[in-house]
Amino acid sequence: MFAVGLVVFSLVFLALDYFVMGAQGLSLVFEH
Amino acid sequence: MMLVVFLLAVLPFSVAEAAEGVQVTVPELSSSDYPVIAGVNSRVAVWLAAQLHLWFAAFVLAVPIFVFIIESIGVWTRDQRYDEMAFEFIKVSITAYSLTAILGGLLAFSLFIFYPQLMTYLTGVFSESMFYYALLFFAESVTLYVYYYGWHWLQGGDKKWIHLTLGLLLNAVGTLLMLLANAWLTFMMSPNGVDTAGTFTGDTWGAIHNFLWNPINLHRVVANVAFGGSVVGAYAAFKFLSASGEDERAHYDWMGYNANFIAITALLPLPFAGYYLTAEIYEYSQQMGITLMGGVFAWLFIIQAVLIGTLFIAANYYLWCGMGRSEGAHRYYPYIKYIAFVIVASFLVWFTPHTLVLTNEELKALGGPYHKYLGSLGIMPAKNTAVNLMILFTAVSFLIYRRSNKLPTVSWVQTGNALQIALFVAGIANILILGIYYGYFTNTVYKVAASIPQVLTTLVVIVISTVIDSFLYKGAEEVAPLRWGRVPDRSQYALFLLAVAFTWLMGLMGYIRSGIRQHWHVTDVFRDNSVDAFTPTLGYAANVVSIGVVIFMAMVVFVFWISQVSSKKSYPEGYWKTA
Repeated sequence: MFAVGLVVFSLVFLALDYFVMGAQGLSLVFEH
Repeated sequence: MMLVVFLLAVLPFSVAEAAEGVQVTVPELSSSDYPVIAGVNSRVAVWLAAQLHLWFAAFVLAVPIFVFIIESIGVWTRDQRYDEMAFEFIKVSITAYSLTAILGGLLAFSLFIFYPQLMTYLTGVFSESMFYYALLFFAESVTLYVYYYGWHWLQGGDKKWIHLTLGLLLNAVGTLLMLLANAWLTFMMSPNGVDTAGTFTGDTWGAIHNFLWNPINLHRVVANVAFGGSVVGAYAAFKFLSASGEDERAHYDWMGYNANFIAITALLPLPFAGYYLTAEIYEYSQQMGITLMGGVFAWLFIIQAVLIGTLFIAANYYLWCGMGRSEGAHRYYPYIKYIAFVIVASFLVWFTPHTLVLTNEELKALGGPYHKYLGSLGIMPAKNTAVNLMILFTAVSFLIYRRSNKLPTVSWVQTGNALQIALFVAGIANILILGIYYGYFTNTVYKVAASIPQVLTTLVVIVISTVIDSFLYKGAEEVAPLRWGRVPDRSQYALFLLAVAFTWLMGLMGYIRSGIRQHWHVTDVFRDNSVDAFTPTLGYAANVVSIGVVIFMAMVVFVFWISQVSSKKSYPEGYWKTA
């Protein structure tokens, strides 16, 4: 259940980062 | 009550009507235009009067806010202890209320004596709002006195609802008073409703609704509640330490716990209200923003960081001591050291300065102005990360405090705990990625932008974990009844420390807020030409604020003492003649 929770909450926070900083902010992570 | 309704209805119209044909201009002053009283430094006199007035005003405006909330909880739960505690809190604020008015008078006199031309200009701009401010004081006094003196009279059924309505009205009037006073001081920082030469032609609403008005309004409401909570916490600690019986100790321990809870609940969102205010100051004037954070005042923010770190450590320490009230707390004791480690480490990061004041030799030894490793901890991404972690781990302290006396009865305990841990791990990972990756390895724009999802992550974790916990511990059994009063005396000194640190913080930060106008009475339009039109050294400013803190604390002790005296009675034998 810990692993499931970790995946779910990570997605929640990723969505939050995307919502606030936009796609450009997130794509920086993958550029590097 | 009618007066308030009347004022709220009439004020906007009267402001609009009175605006016709008004013209208030800025005078050209020289140092001889400022009256001097031998042996009195005008700036320090006004500074101390304003600061003391503000401390008391913040206290008497904040107390009715949480008294109203506590009284409502009492009505909702029908637990009379809440009602009694709310009454005791408001009782403390009554003496403070007269002191607020006296200090307000002292401030007004000081301003008119030492800065007459400035006050002529400001009263010209704000004549209506100052007049209504004075009238509102009647409404504030009447509602406060009926609310306080009618507490035991207005009990039960409809009478209690009338009393609650009075409490709500008292808060509405108090908040309105603060909003008006905030308009005057924010006008001095970010003038509006006047032309570039400062000439006012009647746009009163424009002058009130200036750029920094709402950011200050928000920041002050939240900060006042945190400050008020800490002062009544000190009152409870004072009563706890001087209590004679076990019942009394238990009562004041419970009161201190609630006061601390209020202070910390308001402290958690406070850094974000502060960031919002600072961002708006930058938005209004980059020059003002840089003076604030990057210029002469920056070092005071290091002191601020130390004091806020002290607040967090003291608040957590108080909670850990408070776990001793429970028989089941020993299950959570092993975790405390880890929480303490994270909070202290975050605290150290938070007050690591970016640019040090160094001698040439030190500079040479260091190999430059920034330390090889610690230098990178001096910039905002490190501090944002640290403060978010500090807040999250304070929330963990609250979590284990709440859990310490409970035994869950639901079937999904392990699942719930796993989810809680996953939530915190994912949240902390996100905060670290946002702080470290965006803070150090991307464009500067993202350094600033990443601070917003960091804050939101903290809030999301706190909200979701509280929700999970409330379901997890629904219908939970108690390990044993809580032993209120079973806390070490040293925990009470943590409450004193909170009150002193809050007071000091308000004084220092208030000085910065006012000081960033530098040599202007009203930024960019009304120049200060007095002999004091310079920014004093930080040591001097800190000394003035510290003297203010000592005077305030002495007055607060007087308020605590007088509230104790009022409940004492002497029966001298043979003094009065018998009938």
